[in-house]
Amino acid sequence: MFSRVLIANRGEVALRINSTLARLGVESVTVYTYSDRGSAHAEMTPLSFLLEDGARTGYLDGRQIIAAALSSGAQAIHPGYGFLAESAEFARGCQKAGIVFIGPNGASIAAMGEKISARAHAIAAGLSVVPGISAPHMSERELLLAGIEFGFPLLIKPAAGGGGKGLHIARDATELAHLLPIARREALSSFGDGTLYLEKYLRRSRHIEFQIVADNYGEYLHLGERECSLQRRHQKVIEEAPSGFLSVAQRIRMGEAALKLASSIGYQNIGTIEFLVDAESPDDFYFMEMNTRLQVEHRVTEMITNLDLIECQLRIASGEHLKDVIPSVQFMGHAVEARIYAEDAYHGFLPTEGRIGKFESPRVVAHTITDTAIIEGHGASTSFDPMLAKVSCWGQDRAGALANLRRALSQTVILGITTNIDFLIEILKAKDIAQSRYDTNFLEALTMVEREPSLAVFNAFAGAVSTTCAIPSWKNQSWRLSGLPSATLTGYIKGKRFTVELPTTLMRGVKSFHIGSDWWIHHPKLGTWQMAQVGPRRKNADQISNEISSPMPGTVVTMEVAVGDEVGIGDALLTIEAMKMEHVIRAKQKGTITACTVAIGSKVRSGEILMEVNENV
Amino acid sequence: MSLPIFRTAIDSRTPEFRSNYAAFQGVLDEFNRIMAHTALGGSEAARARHQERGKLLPRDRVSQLLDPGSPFLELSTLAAHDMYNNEAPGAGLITGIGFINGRPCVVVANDATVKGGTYYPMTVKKHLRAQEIALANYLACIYLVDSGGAFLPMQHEVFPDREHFGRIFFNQAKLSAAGIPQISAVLGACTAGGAYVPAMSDENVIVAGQGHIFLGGPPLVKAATGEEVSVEELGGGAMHSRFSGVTDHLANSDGEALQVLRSIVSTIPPSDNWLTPTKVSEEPSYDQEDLLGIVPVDTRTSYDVREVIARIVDGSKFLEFKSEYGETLITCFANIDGYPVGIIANNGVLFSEAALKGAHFIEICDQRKIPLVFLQNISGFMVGKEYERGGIAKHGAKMVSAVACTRVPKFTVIIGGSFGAGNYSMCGRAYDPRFLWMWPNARISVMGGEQAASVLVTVKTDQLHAKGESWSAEEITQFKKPILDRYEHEGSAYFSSARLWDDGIIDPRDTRKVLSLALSIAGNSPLSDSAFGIFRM
Repeated sequence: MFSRVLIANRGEVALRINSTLARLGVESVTVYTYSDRGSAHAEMTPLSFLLEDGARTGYLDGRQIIAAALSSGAQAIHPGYGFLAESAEFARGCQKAGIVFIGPNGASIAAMGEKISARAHAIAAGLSVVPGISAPHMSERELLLAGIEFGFPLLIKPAAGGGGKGLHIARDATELAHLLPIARREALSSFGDGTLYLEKYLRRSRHIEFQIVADNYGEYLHLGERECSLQRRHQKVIEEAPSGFLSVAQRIRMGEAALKLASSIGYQNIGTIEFLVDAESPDDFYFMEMNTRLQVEHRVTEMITNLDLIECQLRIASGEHLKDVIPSVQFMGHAVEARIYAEDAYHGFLPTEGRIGKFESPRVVAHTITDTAIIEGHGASTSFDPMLAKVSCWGQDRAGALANLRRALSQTVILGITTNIDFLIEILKAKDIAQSRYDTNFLEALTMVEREPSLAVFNAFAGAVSTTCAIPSWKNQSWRLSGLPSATLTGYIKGKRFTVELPTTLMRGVKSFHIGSDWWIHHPKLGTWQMAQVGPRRKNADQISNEISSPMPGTVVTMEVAVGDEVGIGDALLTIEAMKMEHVIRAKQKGTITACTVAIGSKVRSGEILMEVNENV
Repeated sequence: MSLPIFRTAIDSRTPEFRSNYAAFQGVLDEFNRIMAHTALGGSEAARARHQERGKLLPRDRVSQLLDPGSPFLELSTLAAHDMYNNEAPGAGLITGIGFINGRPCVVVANDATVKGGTYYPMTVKKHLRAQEIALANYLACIYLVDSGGAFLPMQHEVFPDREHFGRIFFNQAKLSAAGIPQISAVLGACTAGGAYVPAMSDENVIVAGQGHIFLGGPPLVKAATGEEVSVEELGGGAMHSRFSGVTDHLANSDGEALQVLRSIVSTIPPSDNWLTPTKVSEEPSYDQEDLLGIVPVDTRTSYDVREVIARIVDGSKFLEFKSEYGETLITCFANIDGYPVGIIANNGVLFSEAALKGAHFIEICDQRKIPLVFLQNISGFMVGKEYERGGIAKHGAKMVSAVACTRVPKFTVIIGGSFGAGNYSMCGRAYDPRFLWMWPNARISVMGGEQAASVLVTVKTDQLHAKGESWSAEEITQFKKPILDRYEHEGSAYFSSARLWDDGIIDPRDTRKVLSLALSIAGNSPLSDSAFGIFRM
């Protein structure tokens, strides 16, 4: 076993890796960038190296990381997931420097990391792939023509992609023509490679993946599957193991196929082979892609196998035999994980920003693990991942695991930023989820009705705001000298104004946080709510605003119009990139662009005014 | 070790208790009626006009400025009550202490519905008193300015003297120099002298189109120089924020300006507070409601003041000091909402021993940095040959001296009578208590009306005797009546509160709460060192 390992990552995965290293008595070394100073992963080890940010974040700069590993005396590097985890060049660089890359060899990463080549390998190994058009280095025009010939709908995918980033659905030729350049830009900015390919878009499919473990001596086994069909914008939200959908026979067939592919390329360490399964004819499954690394959702596999996958990775990388690392696999019960994102699930899952003023992980739910790097009071940065935390629960059976997760989520308190926690709790109650009747479109097809605040919510706010004084004697609930009017609380919840009397008896169990005139409360039964004490600026309801504002924080990546241009309703004005996704801002009225405050590359905040459109100029 | 619990002798079923209770209810009904009326501010028409202009009523401004749910310890609520033909409820000003972003601040808000928020003599006094409290307790001052300046018909009582209008700005400069933030919002006209409140502030905000600041308004400008200028051009928020730099922040409405103030306050660093609770707060074991049945409305009827103390302090627990000595003065250690206090309460007329005991106790509290609470119900020092021979004047002077010189915060509640030199030794207004409150039944004058009338009758009888004349019993009654009436009127808590001889009248049942609020801020200002040990008296 290694005596010192460098963790080339940040956030919750860095903490996760560190916990296994600590348990095994291995020293860990971390790296951090300037914007991450003071963050949990940078503070957790005695030795931590500052990475200089260049054109791209320091976490993507393999040279600096290898240099840090060498000077720290680390024998191995664990890349976590994201960043350099699937960089064949980095894996080779490590090898060259005499450092063990904890993961597969560079050749396997290259073979599977590039999706077009991965499809070719899968076909060679006898697996079915999703029909589509995939050849190296196709131009946008070639893709467009081939796509039209193939038929719609099509899924545009970046060849160098992963993690669901940069995926787009094109329903017709116009859409395809419009989306190809966008997808190419996203692919370039996210993965440094603009190559795209097209797949037939399967409307009703389930995402089921197999966890592979292989040692350096040609031994392979799989640790069962994970069902990850609950997604939004092609990113996983809820994952479980085992799948509630597969029959025993299907599990055997798919597991064998996965092992066949892994052995055909001489795969080492752990990896995941992702399949799409036709929701209507479960016998048809297609190879989608392989992730040559640890997955975010590895917890659910760990929970049902009682294994520590990071320990497996370390022991295999240090040369142990698979039969020693995992003498036998026993599956027990059911595990399910939910990802908590900083996003507004009720408004198109748009990313949100804010400062986490209060964070509490669930305390009294058995078989629950919360993975997070949240530090109270820190801003939620939009520059990396929007995932704030993930909560994983185990149960004797599927129903038990789901119930535990619901309870755990209802006890997870994140105040100061809008998250999807209440959305997760809500969907976990759905009958279709309980009966495992869903596909990858399930979440986005849901028509979620946003909750209306109940009287209890108002009372909880009133109670919270009347007990904020630090000094006990002032916690007298709006006390005034006798005879004067009693105090009321006026606020806005979801833009609606309300006024309630401040109560004299307080609701128990309400957690609260406020910053300026913004208040947040959490109660296990009510969920999380935000209230503003200052109303939205009064605006004439009949008049459409001339101002075009940004719906989210991000960076301007294209400018479609300039001052003086005429625009019509629905015309694209500019594109904002946030969380590696592009959002087109469109005109809400026709007119002339009379002002513009941003340019390509401008960083914008949520609500920032970008342009002005005037009808009569 | 915990303090002993007091065993009450009060039985709420006795006719005496019931009759006291009923009588006190009547007193409180009157009190609540007056408070509610005063809280309305100006006339209904004036209030409606104010709101039509899109302005918030001053009490709503205060509520929106404070943290939601923050208590507001209002000061001098009944200033100018029954004065100035009752034209100026609350003297057209609201002052008090509340929490903003978690820190206590003094708020001074003009009430423009009362004569345009102009300053009567009592308005000036109330404003100055609020600043004095800010200085004593190191509290940031927030001024919500909406005032036309001095009330011109009374300019001679408002403008020229040391404690008049100019002192407001003098204080702003001195408070700021002492590190006490001066922050204002211009929510209406600030003409002439009024212009200096925002101008003398450390940081301020103005409401566009509503707040104006100028030394001379457009009519005066036209008269002086012939220049014709609009109000906005001359002193509008946009002008002052963009050109003159007289204001720092521009808001669109009252509500927005109040939020700006809250943001400004959030930038002030927290202050040190040396006075912190030493015990976990405990409600008194006996109901505070009982106070109404314990205390006779007639201040001449005696009762055991320990029953009052037991209904104010934590757990009804207190440790008496020198309980066997000078028994007409109760001195004891207790806690209020966890804060340690030394309580000095009258249980009869003051004798030499009581005065010495009081002086000794004050010295001990001073040494231990324990704040003092005076519960005043005092008809005065004992008189007579024996007592003068015993040197009651010098013994009384010791207690007065101790009260004057102690460095610990003092709080006075006049719960009954406050007459003569007793007022001095029990920390009357002249002895700078941090706060002084009165119960609505309380009475204050140099002596009781009956005594004053009798003294004057004796003087007059002596004069008549010298001339060889005399007067009948009926003539004497006739002579006494206007004196009695006058003492009756001028001795009332309302007469006192109207003239700011106190900081407000409080419901007896609020005494504990009010003291607790005051204690929580008293430790903000640093304590000086003391130079002497304790003199055993």
